[in-house]
Amino acid sequence: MRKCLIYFLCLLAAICAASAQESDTTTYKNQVTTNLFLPIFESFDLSYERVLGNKFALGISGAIYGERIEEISLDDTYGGLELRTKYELMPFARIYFGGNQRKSHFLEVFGSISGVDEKGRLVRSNTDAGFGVYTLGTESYTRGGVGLGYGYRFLFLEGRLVAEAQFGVRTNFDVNFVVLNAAFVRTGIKIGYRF
Amino acid sequence: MKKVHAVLLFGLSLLFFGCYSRDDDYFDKIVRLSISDAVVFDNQENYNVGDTLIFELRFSRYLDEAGFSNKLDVFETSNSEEFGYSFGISKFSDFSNNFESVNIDEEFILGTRSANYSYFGYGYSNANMAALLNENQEEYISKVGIVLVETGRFQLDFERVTLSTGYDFDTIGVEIEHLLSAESTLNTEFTVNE
Repeated sequence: MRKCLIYFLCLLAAICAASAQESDTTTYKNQVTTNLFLPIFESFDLSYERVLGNKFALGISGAIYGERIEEISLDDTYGGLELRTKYELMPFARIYFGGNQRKSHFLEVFGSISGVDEKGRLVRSNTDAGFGVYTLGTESYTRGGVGLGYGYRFLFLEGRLVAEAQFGVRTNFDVNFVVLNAAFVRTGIKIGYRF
Repeated sequence: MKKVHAVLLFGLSLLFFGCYSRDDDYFDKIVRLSISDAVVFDNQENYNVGDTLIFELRFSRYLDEAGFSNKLDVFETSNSEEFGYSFGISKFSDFSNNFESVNIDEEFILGTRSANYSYFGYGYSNANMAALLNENQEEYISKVGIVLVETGRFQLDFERVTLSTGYDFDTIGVEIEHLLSAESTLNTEFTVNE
């Protein structure tokens, strides 16, 4: 844990040093980022973004979630059923605003296709005698969703490196009573490389 | 900035699009089935005050389930040896020129009571009776007696009977709606004389 903290402080120092430079940034069209928080929860994501025009970008992000992601999930139960999202693919569109070449706000709309294990589902099978019987089992399925995100982006080292702080919430078309079954995905501190 | 507003509005509308839901699945650890004409009632049609009227409700533990070719084993599914239910009885009223629902005091109903019946739907409010799995574990049977203490024209009501194993978050419940088929010859009307 202490080692992680030292690495993190070094990274912050590097970022601060880089941000002190006032050089112009070159325009790179492609960007790859990963969320620094997810590995803490045995999870990992990778995003690819392609800049289209001055302030608009399209991209796709993929995430694999471990069991510990449930510690920060809001949609891990639904109607008495236990849900576990195993993976997620998120195509997204971004618009950058209110900034300059090196730092700016952005809004993001994204879709989601996720693989879910739902424990506690009724599963029908047959007895040895050939009659049907229901048991509580696990059902795996894929579901869709949409989300909205806001973030702030910094570019460093002449635009080669990127750091983002982002907040994103996604719903998966389910409702718990009247509350949207939301999950904070694409949320956290991200770092990446532009080329 | 207009673009930002447009993206924000579009995104929010997509989020609220999620308000279409699968709420019907909520608490859905209940298997719902239906049975027809499960009541056996040897109706004498004329009774005297003090007589005991007897009817039986019986059904197999293996029941048809819509959408499946084989029968469902409700005992294996629910692990319950008991289905609770309630039945109705109504008395003809000259005032309304119709049969009106009557609640019978529990002391006049004979038979095994259900301890865990908890059906909150559109059912009857008489005593909760139990249909118990018989010895050879093939049928659920409930035998009920009603001590007749009042004169008049009566009829037993079985059209809105729902049998249930009860609800529990951790186990599977079975709920069986009892229907009277078009071919049913069940005559439930009787008269009680002095």
